[in-house]
Amino acid sequence: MVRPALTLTLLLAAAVSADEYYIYYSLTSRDLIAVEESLKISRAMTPLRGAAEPLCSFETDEESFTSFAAKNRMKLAECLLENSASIRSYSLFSSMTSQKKIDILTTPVLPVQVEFNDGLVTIKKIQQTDSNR
Amino acid sequence: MKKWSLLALTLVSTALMAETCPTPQVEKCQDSENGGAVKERTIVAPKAAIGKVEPIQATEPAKAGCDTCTLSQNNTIHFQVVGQGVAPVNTVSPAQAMALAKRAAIADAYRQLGEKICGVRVEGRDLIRNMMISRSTVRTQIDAMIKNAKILDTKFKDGLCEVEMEVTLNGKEWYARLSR
Repeated sequence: MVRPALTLTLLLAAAVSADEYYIYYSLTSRDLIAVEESLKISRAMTPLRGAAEPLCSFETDEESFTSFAAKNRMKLAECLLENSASIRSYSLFSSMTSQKKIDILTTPVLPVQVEFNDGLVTIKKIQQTDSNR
Repeated sequence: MKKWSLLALTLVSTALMAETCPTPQVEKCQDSENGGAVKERTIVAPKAAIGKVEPIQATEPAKAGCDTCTLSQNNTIHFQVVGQGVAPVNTVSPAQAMALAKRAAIADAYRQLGEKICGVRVEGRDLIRNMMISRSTVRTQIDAMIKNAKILDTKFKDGLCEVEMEVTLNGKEWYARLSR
């Protein structure tokens, strides 16, 4: 009786595993050409407390979030950018001619909870308030 | 009987006069030259003659009310932009070029949204030497934070990627913040 219960618990734990990460995305484009892009993912060193709000979900065959992020960088970036994006743009015109245009698109560092469940990865945003940080 | 008909005629003519003659408007203005004496001017504004009303031939589609163009506390407006991105020359594959062009287009679309919603800081400098402009530079800067912008459509054509993006502003939430 004990063994099936233990097996079921282990299977459930394996099926629904939620990890917590911090994600940051940055893109620099110069004269309408993307020149630099970075997606930084860091596992949370302490448990994140706060309400989790679903952000996006994708179908995947990957086993870990880092490998999923490496292969689906654009999908993940679009998901993060839709949540919140900061744009800084600098243009320079000299003698009525456009000389330089730099756009820097970044997302704020976002604490997320990632769940892998049956080939589906669900990314949830953790809303941290000052009291539960 | 004759008296009543005369009275009726008088009333009708008075009513007609009242309709055709506009009420004079008295405007009071203070004369500063004559020790602040109040002057009164009578302005009689003629009523615009109403001729035959002809339907106006619409050359462009009628706008769906001004509610959609200006943000107020009670409406919601949509900002729609098309960002453009160019594929770099030194790419490994066409797929990489397309992906990079799309990223640049997304950044450009966000820039345009920031420009529309938060505005642009413009700084101009002219260097004048020997009574002539020797250098003229204009720098623009945009700094904006945008949330919930959605990509509607992505198109690739001749190495150029176009991303159509939209953001919705709810007047109830944003009017007070943006009108400061």
